Amino acid sequence: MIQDIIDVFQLFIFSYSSLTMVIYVIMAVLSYKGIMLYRRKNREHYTQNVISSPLSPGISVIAPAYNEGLTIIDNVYALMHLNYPLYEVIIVNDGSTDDTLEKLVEHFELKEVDLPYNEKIKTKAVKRFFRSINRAYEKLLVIDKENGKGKADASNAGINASKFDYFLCTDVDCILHEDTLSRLMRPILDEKSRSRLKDIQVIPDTGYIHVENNQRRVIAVGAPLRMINSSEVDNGVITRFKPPHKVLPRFQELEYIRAYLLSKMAWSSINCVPNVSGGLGLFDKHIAVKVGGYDPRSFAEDIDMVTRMSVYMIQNNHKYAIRYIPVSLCWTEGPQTLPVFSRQRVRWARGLIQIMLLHRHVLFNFKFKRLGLIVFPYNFLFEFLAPIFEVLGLLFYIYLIVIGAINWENTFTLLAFLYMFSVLVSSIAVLWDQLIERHYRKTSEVIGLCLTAFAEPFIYHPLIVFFSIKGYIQSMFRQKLVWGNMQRKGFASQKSTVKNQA
Amino acid sequence: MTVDQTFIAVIQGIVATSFVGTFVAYAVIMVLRFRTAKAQRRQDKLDQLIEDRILPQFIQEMGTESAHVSIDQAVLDELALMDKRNRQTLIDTLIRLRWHVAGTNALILHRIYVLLGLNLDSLQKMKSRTWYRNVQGLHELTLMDYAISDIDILRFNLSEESELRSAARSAFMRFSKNEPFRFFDEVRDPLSIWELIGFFRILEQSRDTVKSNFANWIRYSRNKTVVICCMKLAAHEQSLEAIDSIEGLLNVNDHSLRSHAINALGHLRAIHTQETLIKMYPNQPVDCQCEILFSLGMFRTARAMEFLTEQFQSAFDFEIENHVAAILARLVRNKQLAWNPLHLPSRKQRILNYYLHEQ
Repeated sequence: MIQDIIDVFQLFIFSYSSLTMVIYVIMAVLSYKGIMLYRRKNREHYTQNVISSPLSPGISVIAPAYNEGLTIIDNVYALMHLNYPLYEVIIVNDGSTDDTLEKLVEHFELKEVDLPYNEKIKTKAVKRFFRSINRAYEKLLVIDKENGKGKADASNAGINASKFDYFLCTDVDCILHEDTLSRLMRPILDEKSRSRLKDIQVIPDTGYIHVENNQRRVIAVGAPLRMINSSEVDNGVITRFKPPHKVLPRFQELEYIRAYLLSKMAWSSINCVPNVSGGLGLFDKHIAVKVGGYDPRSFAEDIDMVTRMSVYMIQNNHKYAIRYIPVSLCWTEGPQTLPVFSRQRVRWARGLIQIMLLHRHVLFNFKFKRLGLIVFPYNFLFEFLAPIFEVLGLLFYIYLIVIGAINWENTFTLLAFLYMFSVLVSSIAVLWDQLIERHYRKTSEVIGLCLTAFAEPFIYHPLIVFFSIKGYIQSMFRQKLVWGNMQRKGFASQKSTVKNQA
Repeated sequence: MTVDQTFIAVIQGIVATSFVGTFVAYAVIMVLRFRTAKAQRRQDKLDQLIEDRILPQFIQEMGTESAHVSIDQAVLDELALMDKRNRQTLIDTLIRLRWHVAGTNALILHRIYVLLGLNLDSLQKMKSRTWYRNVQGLHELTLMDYAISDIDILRFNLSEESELRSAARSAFMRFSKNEPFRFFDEVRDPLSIWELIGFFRILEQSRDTVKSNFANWIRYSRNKTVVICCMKLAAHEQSLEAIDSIEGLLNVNDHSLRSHAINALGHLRAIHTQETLIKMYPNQPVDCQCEILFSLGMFRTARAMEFLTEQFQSAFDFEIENHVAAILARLVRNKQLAWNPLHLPSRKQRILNYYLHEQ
């Protein structure tokens, strides 16, 4: 009887691992196709039109700031030098306790204004609005509000105050590529319908009916985020890209490349994107407001809002798409210390469990089409359950060792199988990244990043699994979540540090 | 061989494949980076050549009427020996320059493009079997103003690839001498805003294009995106003969089509439609109401001003209130409206003041 259970469990774990790998292979193929198609469609001179066109829709860039005094000036400068004809920058000071607001007021010559404000999405009290008296900063709007205990509330205040139909949500510590807006806007302006209109005889004398437009509405667009930790930044512009030197950000760099270029590009090519990252996402404001914006109670507010937007579109019978582009457009500082990293991952795990519970009616529900039959099942089976199965598998092997029933030869073969496959997947992700753009100047830096993949299963992956399980347990016991503040190093100091070392 | 042994053998096969695959990935990365470095060196060399021996000719002739340009035989000889990649780099550089110049200067760049025989490379791409090469060729020829015959372009209109159909439409619009928008008759797929942005750009670059009458497409096309596109083009080109057709769309059920029609009437300053717009205003959804207010702001008649001020005073909807305040503020700032809002409630005054002082 016990042997039967052991056999079944072994078979289950192996099948689960194999299925995960098959999915990775499919993703690699789909993402390659998506990347090549993007490359072909987006040669430099094809995308120039939008930058000078009066038809380009306006975009509100929303960046919440909480105690960001160290980097705020550099970051706002970077946001105000984007290459796009019509946009505004909204900085939401979310009740900072440091000198964030004072620095902004002083540096950008801000003056309080009486902005007409409509609270379409409920937020904590908004106290003041500031605009610059200097025409050079006319794009800038600063909102001062009470702390909302998270990014969601501040982002919602920014959405309420925004004047354009699209908003880009980012973190104020992120540095954006100057073409971010034009590149993210293209999928919205250029979503092609799958079917062509039927050839119909036009009979003017008998009147006509306009054929309904069968295009899908692109409700959100995202792009890869990368780590800025060891790169050199000058006045809000990255002057030299480098892979992070510190261990945790370096592993995260590899993880981000894999997640964005392999996973999200693949999902985008079949219109099944589960999430547009909170670090960089362009959204259709109309739909975002309809679903109530970001939920301040959510631990994964980005995935929650994207899910609600998708559900809204499906329930109202609208064709929609969520797209990803493969070009890295946003660089952010990753957690460098274990406690900060732990807080981030525990929050993500708790966010995932919250999403699964909150939107459980979507899971395996035919009414929700791809969302219910592909996106949610994948998230449930391969994102939510993966850490649980990994721990169960590990405990099972320990049990086998204890009872002396383990076949070491087969075990090592299976472990080698998992290990080499994970290294291969990471290497392919780096290769896909190199197909798109070569940010790192030296080949040794790229190969160094590839070699990080060999250490990942021993160091980084166990940490992720541990923090995920910790998050699940905390959720089960309804423990209070500690958000904490990400201790920034600041870009200005990064450059000087590098120079001093040199 | 037992089932277990076969299973382990398969696993070992996958391990070996993964191992080899990883190193193949590294090798490809190395090759890619080597090629990039080589391309960069090539670009640097070409930049030097352009800067030293082609640009001086260009700068010398800039602003002159003749648009005459000549290039040293030595440069031509050097370029003749270059491989495809070098020539492509040169085409890309010329296109980059082309984005920043117009008129005679653009003509000089066009001449350089032809003189160096780069047009042949672009024409070659049009003969390729791959759609993205065709698109590349069409784009290059369009951007460098190298005319292609209608027949050569029209064959791409039937392509299965939407990107190619789109590039063909842009090229047709740029080069067709008689009826640049004739492709609207044939379009069977929705036109995207992206494509429309491209059309605008071409119109700006080629002011000598034959004026088209968009009225017929607005009236008779069954493709909604063509109708919207034509309304925008008619507004951009100030094609007044399209007004009657656009007016006909004020009664359609489709809100988005109606709001586009109202917007176009505003741009065309169709003042005679003023009363119709004012009459239909109360029964419209917010987006159409905003467009009506915009159009009345464009008309700038006494009746329109009166209506706008009335709406501002009576509006409760946040969006309408702010929209009309922004229009009124613009009119006051441009001294097209003398209006003293002191009698307004303080909230309304605050809104108006905000837009009056907004830079």
